[in-house]
Amino acid sequence: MNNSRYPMNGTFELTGRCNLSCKMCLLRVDHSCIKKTGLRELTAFEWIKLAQDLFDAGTLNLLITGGEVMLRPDFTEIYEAIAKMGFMITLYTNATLVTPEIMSVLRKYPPHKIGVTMYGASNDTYNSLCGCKDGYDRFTDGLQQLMTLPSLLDIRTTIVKDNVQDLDAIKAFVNEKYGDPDRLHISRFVCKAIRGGICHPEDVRLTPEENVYTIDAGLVSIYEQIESNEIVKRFFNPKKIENTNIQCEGTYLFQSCKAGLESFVINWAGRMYACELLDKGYTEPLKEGFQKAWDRLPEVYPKTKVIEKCSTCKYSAICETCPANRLAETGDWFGVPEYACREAQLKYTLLSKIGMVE
Amino acid sequence: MKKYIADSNFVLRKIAGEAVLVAVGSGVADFRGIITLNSTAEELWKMLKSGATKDELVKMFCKSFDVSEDTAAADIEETLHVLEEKGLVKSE
Repeated sequence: MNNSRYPMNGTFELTGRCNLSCKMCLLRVDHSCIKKTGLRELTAFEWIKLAQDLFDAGTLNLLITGGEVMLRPDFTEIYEAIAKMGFMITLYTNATLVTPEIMSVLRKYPPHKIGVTMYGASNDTYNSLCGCKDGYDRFTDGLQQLMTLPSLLDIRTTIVKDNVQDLDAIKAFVNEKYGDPDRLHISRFVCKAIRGGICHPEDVRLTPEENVYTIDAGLVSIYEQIESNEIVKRFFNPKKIENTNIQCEGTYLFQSCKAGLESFVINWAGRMYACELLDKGYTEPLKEGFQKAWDRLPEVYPKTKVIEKCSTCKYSAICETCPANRLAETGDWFGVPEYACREAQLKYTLLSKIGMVE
Repeated sequence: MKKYIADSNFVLRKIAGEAVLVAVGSGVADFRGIITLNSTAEELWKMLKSGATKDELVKMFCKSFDVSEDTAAADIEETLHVLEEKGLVKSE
């Protein structure tokens, strides 16, 4: 276990509820689902107390996210109290619930960064995917207001079957707003629901093949260009991709991504996880105190194990698996998600055809 | 005498043992990063939180650090100039 742990980056998931009903959401819950768990959302007082604990522990970066944070009637109370304390704040929102009251607080205490999710380029798509008839109009209105803040603002999207036809329009939208296509972040891996989420992302996500050909369209384009040019093809020397999935027994599970070493998430019910994608393994900062919860966090996860199939896999260097999505996809910390395998194999095939790998 | 006061839109934090200033409020419009402070700057900032004249700062500095009055005055003069220029400190 790495002894130099420090809680530099925190995430507060203020709510698991959302005003949109996006079909691919990993963690959306509703009131009836919350009731069944026997848990409850934290109060504003509890969030502000936790933020004070993070201040004392020396956390610098704080992501405030949901669900949709602006759905909480006490969002402005929570946000303003936390924003004064001195964190580098990032705020995630779908921008459809921006009100004058919220803007007033955000103008007084602008986040350092804002990540706005965009689910389509029309009201029809927002209706089909998110169950919101005027979602696109609300998004553009909200975005327009948020863009008046001095915060760095990025657009984030997740491409699935219901909105793949809008991908070019989404890219054009971002390009028009910013003149910089890098301001659009596309989720790379849509995995199954976690922590009791009520949606079924696996029903609407693209197939691995569609994912690569759509999201990694650049790779495909390179392949097609090189394939059509005999002279260029000759200049490519194949490289061997080393198996980077170095596996050993008994080490910390999240050593490579630093989850739980430098970062943590506190979810809507007050549970601390190493990463927001985790389904299992948590401590309870409100019950045991933040410092103890942080100190104890690595103990709630299993240690690494050699995964036979992955340890000899030639696609491992470009594979998108991690312990969190292994668990979400297979129910097993050490499972092998078929979705990721197919995607990695396809990308490897493309890379080998253009002479990038042996 | 001129009194210097730290801008309340910058919060002093201790992060992994280092003193840093983080912009909040209207400070974010001007600066979205962090500013690291060495130990003397950190002490100076703490003194400036409640406001102080240059003479008061020099006196407090000589008490806290083993430096002559001239050295303290010169260092404080230079630091205040930089902080004022960057908008982190105001004088009244």
